[in-house]
Amino acid sequence: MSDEMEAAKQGFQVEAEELLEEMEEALLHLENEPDDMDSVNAVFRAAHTIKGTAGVFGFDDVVSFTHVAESMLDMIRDEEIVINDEIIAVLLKSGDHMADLVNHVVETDDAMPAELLSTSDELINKLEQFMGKGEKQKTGQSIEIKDDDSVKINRDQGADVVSTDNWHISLRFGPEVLKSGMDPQSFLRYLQRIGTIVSVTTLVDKIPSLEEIDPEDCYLGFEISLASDESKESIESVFDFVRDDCQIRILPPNSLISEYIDLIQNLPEEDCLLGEILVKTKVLTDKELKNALDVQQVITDSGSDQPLGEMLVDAGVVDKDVVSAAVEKQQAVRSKKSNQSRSVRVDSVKLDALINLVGELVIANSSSFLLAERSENPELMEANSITARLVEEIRDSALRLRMVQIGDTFNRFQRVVRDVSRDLGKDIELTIVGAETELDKSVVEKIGDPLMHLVRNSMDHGIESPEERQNKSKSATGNLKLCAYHDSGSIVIEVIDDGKGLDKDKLIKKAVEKGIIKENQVLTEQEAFRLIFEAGFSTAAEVTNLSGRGVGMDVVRRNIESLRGTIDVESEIGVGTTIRIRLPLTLAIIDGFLVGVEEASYVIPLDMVIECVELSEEDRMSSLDRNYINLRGEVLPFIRLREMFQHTGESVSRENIVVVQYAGKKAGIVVDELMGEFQTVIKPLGKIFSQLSGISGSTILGSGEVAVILDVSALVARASEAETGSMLTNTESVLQLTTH
Amino acid sequence: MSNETEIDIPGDMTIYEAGEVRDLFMNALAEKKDINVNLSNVSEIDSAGIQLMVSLKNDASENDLSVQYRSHSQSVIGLLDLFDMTSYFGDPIVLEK
Repeated sequence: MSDEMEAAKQGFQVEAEELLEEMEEALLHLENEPDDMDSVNAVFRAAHTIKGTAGVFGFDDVVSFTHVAESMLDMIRDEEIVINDEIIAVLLKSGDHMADLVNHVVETDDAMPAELLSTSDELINKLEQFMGKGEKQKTGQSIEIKDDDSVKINRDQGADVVSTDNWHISLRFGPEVLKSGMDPQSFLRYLQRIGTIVSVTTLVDKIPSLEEIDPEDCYLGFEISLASDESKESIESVFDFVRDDCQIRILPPNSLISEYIDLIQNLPEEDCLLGEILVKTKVLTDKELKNALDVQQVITDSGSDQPLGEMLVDAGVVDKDVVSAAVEKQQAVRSKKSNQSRSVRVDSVKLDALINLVGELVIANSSSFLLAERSENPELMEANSITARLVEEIRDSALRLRMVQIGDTFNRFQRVVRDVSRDLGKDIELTIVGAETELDKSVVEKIGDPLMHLVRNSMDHGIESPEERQNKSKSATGNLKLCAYHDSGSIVIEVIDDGKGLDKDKLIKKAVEKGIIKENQVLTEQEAFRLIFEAGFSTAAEVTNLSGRGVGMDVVRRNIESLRGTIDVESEIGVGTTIRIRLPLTLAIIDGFLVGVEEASYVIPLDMVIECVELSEEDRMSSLDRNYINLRGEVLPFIRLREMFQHTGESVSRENIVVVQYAGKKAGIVVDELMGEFQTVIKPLGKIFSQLSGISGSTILGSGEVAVILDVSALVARASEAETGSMLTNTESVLQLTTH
Repeated sequence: MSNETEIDIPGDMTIYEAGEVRDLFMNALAEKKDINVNLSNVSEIDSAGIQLMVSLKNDASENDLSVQYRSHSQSVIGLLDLFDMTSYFGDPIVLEK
């Protein structure tokens, strides 16, 4: 497969994806406002364009399926079918199926798998049912339209209509066609599919001698006579891809003789040659040609030099559809252009390379900053701090380039909620809050699947059936809310339902049954709720095909944790459940707070640092046997880094405590030295460290030394546990790990 | 010395090979003898290939030489058929099963 072709296919895939998204949006809109003609047109346009493009590539399976959908949409447009929910449901499925088909043909060269084909047949069947008598009726109707045209022509022009009832297509391909990955033969082959090519004449007179030929240019032209029931619009659309490069003239059946004259005149070949071809291919009879050439003479004599478009309009034979399609196309191009001027599409690989470089720049800068400090040259230090500030700004703007709004991800759930609530026979409304909240693209990409699980789970297990809800004097419509906001260096995403809530006792009973916890283990409410994220745990009495298989929620938790995020649950019986996901804004660079224990340096993410206080002598003494202090009347559990990382040296006379906060909980980290803010480029830890809790990554200091980035969420959790007394066992496990 | 120049097209005749095929044809033409082109190995042909076939035929007849294309592969036959150019070339085509 050639690169150009591959690129063109990729382009098709992207285009199809965008079109199908638009189609889905329009269909969902139609559900509420079935009369909205703009939406119907949008859906039609999507199907139509995909069919046309797929045809040029020769993706037969896509074409044959899309064709049926398009035909039905055309009938809706003509108001022969009234759109209803049932039709919308099938069309939504058809849209999904088109995406599957397109992805398959673009990604592999294999034959279409049987399951996709059988889905095609199934959907085609349904679509045809909606169309009633199906294709035949439609064809009949379009012939009627053509008849109308001829009637009009007859009235205007007397009997000057040619007798053939075939389409006549004149193609003169531009020289660049082959180079841009198109081959005239694929157009001919596509025409064969939408009709019968009665005759074709290949014009080779433009082909130069071997001496002069550019073997990669195209010199071919074709005169084609086509028998087809398709509309002019759909025949035109075959050539959408090459319209700019080529001269294309399409004459409908029973066109005016003058149309042919026009054709003969406007094409580059000698008039007589063309005339002969037309006669030979039985487009024109001898007599018709003779008349035509006579008229042509008159026109030439009178020096009429009308532009093609005007002539067509004057003659009144251009299909309305063709004109409106052209206008639509122009508008689409225009609005695309204005978008382009506002934004630039950049390959994400390039963006990643930039972020990487900025990361290196940050490290290099901190090294030169260190040297400047040692030199004690105030001017050098000043110059360096200016550079540092600029580097910081560059870092921020580079990271912002990767930020995208979460709204697109959220909006996908409109469809999910709609489909699932129908499947379940529930009435559920989705509300989205904070769609404009931004987060790193790499995080957005990975959050989709876990969110999907959570949303489905809430709908399936959380929200009750309408009857049940009414019995509980709740509104019959269930509410599901997706919420996003920023909170101290993290983004918080909440999935909130107003369903039946989690039953602590039921959860514990189930967990005991499954052997996840021991019979008389005492759990707090929080801990009990967290049981739903345990592997092999499922509370649904019956397994549905949506959720309830006990796989999923534990995968969700693991996915979130691999993004350095956390997940927690709040719930009240009868009122609802909130699942809260907390994720770091970015995965690449953070502002760090550098602390030291003996010779080693540690980095705490600055967003989580609240304050630094000195560990007073009194607290020091008392803290030898307990791990919390009194911070302005508040109990603050803490952890000694010295102990945690087994620094064996003498403790220094003055220790400091860094107060950190995560997910609403505070804890202290006791360190020897506070070294200040530090821009930290996160270098991921190797696989062997993946089981290590308390550490989230490493970084390189300006001096070239390695510093460990502390995982504050794990430390806070550990400190709170220590406070409740289960310190010993945990510390041991950490110690064992850190010594390796 | 035979009085014909034999050309064996080694593989495809698409836009990617067009440059090479053109060189092959020009070299053959330079020998000023009738030309016999074996198309049996052409597993893929596109419009660029057809154009070169036309061009060679034209150039040869200007020099009063003849060109015969023979042993058409299925792909060549298919394209000639699509473009309705079989009679244009007028070469005998052997239809295989």
